[in-house]
Amino acid sequence: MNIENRTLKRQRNSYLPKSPYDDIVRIKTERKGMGKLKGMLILFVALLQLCVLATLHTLVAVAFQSYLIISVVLDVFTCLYILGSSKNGRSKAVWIMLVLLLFPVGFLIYFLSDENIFFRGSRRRYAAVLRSSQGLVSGCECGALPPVTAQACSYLKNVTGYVPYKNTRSKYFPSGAQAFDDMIARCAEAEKFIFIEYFTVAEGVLFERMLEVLKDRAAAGVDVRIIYDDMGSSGRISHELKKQARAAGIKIYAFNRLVPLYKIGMNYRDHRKITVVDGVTAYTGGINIADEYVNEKRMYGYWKDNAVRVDGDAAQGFVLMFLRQWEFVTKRPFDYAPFLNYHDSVKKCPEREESGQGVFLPFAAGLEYRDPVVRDMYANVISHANEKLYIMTPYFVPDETITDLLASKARSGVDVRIVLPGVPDKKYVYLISLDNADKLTKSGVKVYTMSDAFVHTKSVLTENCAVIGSANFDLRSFFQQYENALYTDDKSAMEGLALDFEATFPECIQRQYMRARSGVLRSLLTALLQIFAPMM
Amino acid sequence: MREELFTYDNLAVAVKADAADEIKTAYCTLGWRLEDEYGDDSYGDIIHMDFVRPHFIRGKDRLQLLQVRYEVALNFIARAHRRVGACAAAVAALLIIVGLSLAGFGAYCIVSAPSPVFVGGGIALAVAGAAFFAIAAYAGRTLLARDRARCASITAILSENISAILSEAAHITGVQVSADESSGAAQ
Repeated sequence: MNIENRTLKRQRNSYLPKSPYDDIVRIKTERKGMGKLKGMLILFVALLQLCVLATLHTLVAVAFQSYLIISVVLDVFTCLYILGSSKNGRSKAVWIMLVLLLFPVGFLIYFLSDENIFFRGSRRRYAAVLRSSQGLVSGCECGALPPVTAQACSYLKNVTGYVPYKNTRSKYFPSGAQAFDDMIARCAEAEKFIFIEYFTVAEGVLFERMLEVLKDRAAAGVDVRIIYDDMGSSGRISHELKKQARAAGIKIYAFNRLVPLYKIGMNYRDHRKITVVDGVTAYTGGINIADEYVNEKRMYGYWKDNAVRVDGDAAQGFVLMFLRQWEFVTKRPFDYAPFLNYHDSVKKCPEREESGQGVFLPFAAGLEYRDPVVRDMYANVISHANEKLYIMTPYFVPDETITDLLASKARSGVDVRIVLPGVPDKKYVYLISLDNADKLTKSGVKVYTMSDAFVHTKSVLTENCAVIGSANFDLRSFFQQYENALYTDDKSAMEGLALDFEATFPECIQRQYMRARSGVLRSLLTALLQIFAPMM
Repeated sequence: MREELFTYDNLAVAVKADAADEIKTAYCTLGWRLEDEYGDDSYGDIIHMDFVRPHFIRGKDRLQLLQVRYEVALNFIARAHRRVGACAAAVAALLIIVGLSLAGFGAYCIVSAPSPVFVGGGIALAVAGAAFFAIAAYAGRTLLARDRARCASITAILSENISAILSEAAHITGVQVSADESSGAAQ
């Protein structure tokens, strides 16, 4: 290949001033904070409402002293209520502190933010969806399983109803670009339905590519459905494009539409990443449908992500996951059977013959379950690691359970490694992530940051199994968001992820414990941010 | 379906005119082909370049990472060069202000001295002011030398990195680039 070094006409004007930009080279698609304005505005309006309410309440309390006394009593009772709630310890501590600090309106703010009161309707609706869709998928008879897999299977079956599968072939993609190329090609072959559920769906080259294929398939009679999160896609997908998609026969819905009201439900987002084609093929991972995920747009350096494709029975788990969310979003019950049974009616499923012996366990987590499924699954995986434990995550703000487990594993001689981004997307979360990770280095955990890259991969690998999905190692993913992931002990997926880790380590810088070197201001800021970590 | 969506990737960059040729060569090494090149409407030292690359190219992930690293290194060198002397100038300016103040106050004391003590004090202050000028000159020179040395070592390391990045890219894409061309933009 030769360099085509054409000298084209440069219209240089000597009278023009010098540019104020410092950089020698600037990528024109390099934009930061895209689409945040709408979300910020809504948050501002919601907080304004809360402030007005709090001010009015304070005025009443000041005017009537007896009411002030009642407020104090209510604050105390609220603290007792928080102590007795099922929140994690850190959240309890932060809320109690806030209730006492914000006297006399603390109890009011807490109850307006209590999901048990103001999210009850959604919970009830979700419970109905779960009840009606119970037992629709049967999974496989797995026989004697390794302890970690057996425990994961029974936990998920009892808590979420998701079941394990065999007869599945997997393919691991170490980048978003590879995953989307494969996904688009697979979507182009769809015959019956394509289900897409992502936190971020953003206009751009990637979405244009996908939309071309989806329009084409919809025109051919394929049932195409898309769910996107309204906050994750805020300002990044135009009404015009949605209209265009709907006109082409694509059903597209937003999850939890943003409204300028102080509503606790606004905090709970659909962070899942799922594509299912014909109930035979499914994709999941850290990827979203936006140009930065395939490095077509520059946001925070190189965008490191991953995904896994499963062909075979395990895709059924993802179909069920999507259909439940679809029913919740559209608020219209429907029959799941045509979508779940379509897989069995497919005559030719070559993957069945080629499948490995591993177990595939797709699972979803979210507010519909009382248990923190993601946290418990990670805890199960970590506690069974005896040789190696590799974690890649963009945010590292776990609770004490995970932190203690990681520290104890590292002290027991397990090779614990955590890969974090070298370039942050949210600086305040990055400060906390580094602080949390650095503290673990004292226990022998090796912490790496990938140079010039934003690591968005969310995966765990041990010698026994792998978890690949949408769930970060942070409190939002553990307790507040709708997440999904694939647990597997399949050799092919594990090898793919292991190779990815091995290829990533040389691109990273290993961090040393540097608390003594971080300045007083940084330490203070980190401590302050740590207070609000459960809300980040 | 529009086939071109699946055939080529596009890249649009704005670069400083004096480094345009070297950057163009580097991008070609990273597998891009120049499609268009034109000047900026507002700034005289900016050149816009549009590149295309086959969507399916061998080692794409690696090339994307190398490209980011190339751009980061290039911009870091530029920033390091711009920072040379900034610290020296700030410290020297501060010391000169202190020196000027002392000298000025000393002169005022000498001129409006009610007693010989004030004259002596004024002279001492003027001398101290002059000493501050000397310190400013020395500090400025030392800091400048330190900055230059630091910048030179950063440039040397990052130029080496850029050469390594481009030679790895050349290995993947098969496009050859000379060592002079690869580090030229960095100087």
